[in-house]
Amino acid sequence: MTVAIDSPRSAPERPGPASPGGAPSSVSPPWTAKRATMYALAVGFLAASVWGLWRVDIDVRGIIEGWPETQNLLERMWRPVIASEDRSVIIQALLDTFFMAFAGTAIGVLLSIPLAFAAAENVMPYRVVRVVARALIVFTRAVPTIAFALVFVRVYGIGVLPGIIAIGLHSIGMIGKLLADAIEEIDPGPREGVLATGAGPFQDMATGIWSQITPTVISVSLYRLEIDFRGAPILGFVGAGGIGVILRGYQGNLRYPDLLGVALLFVVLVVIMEIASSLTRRAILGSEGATPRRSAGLLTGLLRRRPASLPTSTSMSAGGAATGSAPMAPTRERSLRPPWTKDRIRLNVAAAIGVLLFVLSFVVPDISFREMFVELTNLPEIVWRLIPKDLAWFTARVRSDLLETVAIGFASTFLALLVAIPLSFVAASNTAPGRASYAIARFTALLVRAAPDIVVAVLLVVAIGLGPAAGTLALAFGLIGFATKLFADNIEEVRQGPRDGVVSSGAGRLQDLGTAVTPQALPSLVGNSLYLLDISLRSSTVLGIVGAGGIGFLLQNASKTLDFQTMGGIILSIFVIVYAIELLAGWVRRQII
Amino acid sequence: MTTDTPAIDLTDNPVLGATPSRNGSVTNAVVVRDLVKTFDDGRVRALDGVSFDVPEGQMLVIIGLSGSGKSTLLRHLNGLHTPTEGSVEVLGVDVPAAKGRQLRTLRRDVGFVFQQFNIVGRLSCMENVLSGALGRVRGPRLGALMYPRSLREEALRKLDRVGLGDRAWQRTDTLSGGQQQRVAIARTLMQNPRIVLADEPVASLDPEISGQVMDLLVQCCIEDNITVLCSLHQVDLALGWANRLIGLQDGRIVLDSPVDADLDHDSVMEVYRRLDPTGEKADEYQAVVA
Repeated sequence: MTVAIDSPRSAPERPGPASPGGAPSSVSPPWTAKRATMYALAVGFLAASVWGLWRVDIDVRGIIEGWPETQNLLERMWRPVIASEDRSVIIQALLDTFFMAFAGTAIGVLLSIPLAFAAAENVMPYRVVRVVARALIVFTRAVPTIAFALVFVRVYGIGVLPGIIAIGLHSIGMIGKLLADAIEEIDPGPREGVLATGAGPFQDMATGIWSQITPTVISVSLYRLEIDFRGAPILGFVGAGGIGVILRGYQGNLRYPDLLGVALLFVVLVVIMEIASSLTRRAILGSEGATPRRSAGLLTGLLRRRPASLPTSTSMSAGGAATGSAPMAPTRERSLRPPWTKDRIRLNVAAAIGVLLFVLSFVVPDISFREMFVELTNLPEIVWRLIPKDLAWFTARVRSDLLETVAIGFASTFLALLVAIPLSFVAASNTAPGRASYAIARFTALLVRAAPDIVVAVLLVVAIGLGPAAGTLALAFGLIGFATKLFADNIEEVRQGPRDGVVSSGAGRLQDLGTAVTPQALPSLVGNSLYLLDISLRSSTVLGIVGAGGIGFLLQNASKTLDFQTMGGIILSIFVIVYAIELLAGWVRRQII
Repeated sequence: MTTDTPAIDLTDNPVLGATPSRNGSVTNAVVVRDLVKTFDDGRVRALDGVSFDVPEGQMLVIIGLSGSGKSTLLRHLNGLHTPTEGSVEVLGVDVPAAKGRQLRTLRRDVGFVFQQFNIVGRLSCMENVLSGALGRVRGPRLGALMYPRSLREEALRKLDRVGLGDRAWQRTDTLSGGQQQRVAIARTLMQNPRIVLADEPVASLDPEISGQVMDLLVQCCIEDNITVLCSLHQVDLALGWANRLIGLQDGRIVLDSPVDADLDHDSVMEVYRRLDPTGEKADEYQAVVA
């Protein structure tokens, strides 16, 4: 029966006998369990989105009617300035933010690597260890940075250090997962080759596995650094240092032009950071970073400008050399040390810069390693106090705010999809109506994506007032940029063959998109939409800190009043919700594939 | 050649290409008895009661169709597979029983050349060849400089032997297929093995390069007095140097013969002629085998 779904059009043409039971062959696709599930999920998502939009109550009329007022406010704001008397403080805060993100990501990577090996099925033979490692990775992913920050502000006191630790711990969730998956997906061949020489398990890890995953480690780390830098402003709002402290100050003192000025400056820095990161990736990995696997060998061979390394020319000369009489090579290449090729120099310079930045991350914000470890002795006690001993914390307000968080998540995802899906067809090179519209759409997506959620939320709270509506719109804004990029990439991966087939049957432009492009991209589009839902739920937990709705407000309040039970209870609830959505998303993804 | 492996009773098995004697002047590098291997809970029977001995220094070629069990058989000899039934003894070690350190020690003496080369493409040729010495050093190694200088010199000599001394520091995935397999051979030689198992080492190379790579492998093994068990599709490539041929079909040995004047080409090709796409002639073929 499932075969018929794939070719519903051809089904009626089949001259075969009527289906069992004597009923005539149906001209509609049969209702299989899978198809019903898909419909139910789509309806469920729509229902959840409608409920979310109703719950966050985006008052379109109110926004329109209040527009003159908003406009007035925006006009007052639209004179972004960087106050000269604050300049040195701002620069210090920006440096702190960068180093906080850098040190945090670095710690995250260092902790993730052993965890990833322990979590990978093809490395760790003991199921118990794998399950524990995976659980740690899932936990750090589902607990937002801000929750870690609030806890570690209690451990270390106000400053950059809790920010670094929070970023580091939360980063494990993503880095650990991606690395564990990368390890599980490596080509087993080379490992077998290494094992067959009599290598032990650690030698196998170093030579057989690590050498294969280094490109992934580098690109994932750089990618995570971008995310951590962009997300760092929120930490300042809870006292964990960085540019957020300045933003919170301006918000509190109603210095809106300053607020906008610093926010825009930060957005520019995020864009610069992304460009620097992608340049670094390319410099270290060469073509490997740009096109993983496919034809990497040929490309690197060409890029290195070594004529001898071209596969075609070398395979010709293989015979002569194979007889055993090696041609006398230049002394330089007879060296027992690897030659200083451009690639090797670049890699070593990058590594040196990385180490230098890591050291600076502790020197510039003035953090002592001693403090970092000594104060950790307080951690067990705080964690113990965080564990809720009863349900007293689960008040009606907590319940309502948790629901509001979920509502914001669904509503913002829905709004973002509404814009991003059509936009992504313009931002994909193979479906864009023209070169210019493609470039504009891509660039818009990049700019929109660069604005940190929290910064947009702060600005929107100013513009349309406190409450979940501002939070929803802020999240939707950021998601549009991200979703457009993801979707456009998916669309670009669509194969051309089926499109040629559809077009040569006389289909128009939109028919081509509908019949040939969308069905091919659909599994990735749905998968990535679920990923967006995942992200927006996680982000919606922090909006409350700037007054944009959701559970964040109560979380921060509990932290301020040292109500550890409530704090712990809320963090646990967030974990449960985010993890539940992640499980659901994973299940749906498997159904589609 | 060392003779520390115990002499094995050879009376019930004709040793080919060498004269057996009870007082142990010839020892067996490999002894396989009634080897059975099933996959998928017994649904697939890859090896179905295979028995044979290989004396040291022999050049044995195993032929057979894809899926006849050649790879499965070879992978049992260095412990990449464990038998469902039967015994496998290599260099006097009971392979299925060997675990951990004992298995690694055995693998040092048993080189394996894979059809897909199984080298790490991102690493330089030097690093790949050096990984053949991992059994000799302790602890993990990242990068060529973590190996002692003497091993690096040795690795360079091995690369010279396969004609790639001038490519030592080039990334392996920038080489052609034939060259990559030569790097893999150099890695195997780096182990200073007593046995080399080669699993269709030239199946992914074109005919001309295949001949060159095969010649190189055989030449090195003869020079170092290494026992060779090699599975091959190209019978003609085998006849030039092999001194014994084993034909596998559906996991059973259907041909076991020394390569000499008595071995006629037709009887060898018979191993390949089992292909019966329709299944109609199955009985006829069975009769021929019997």
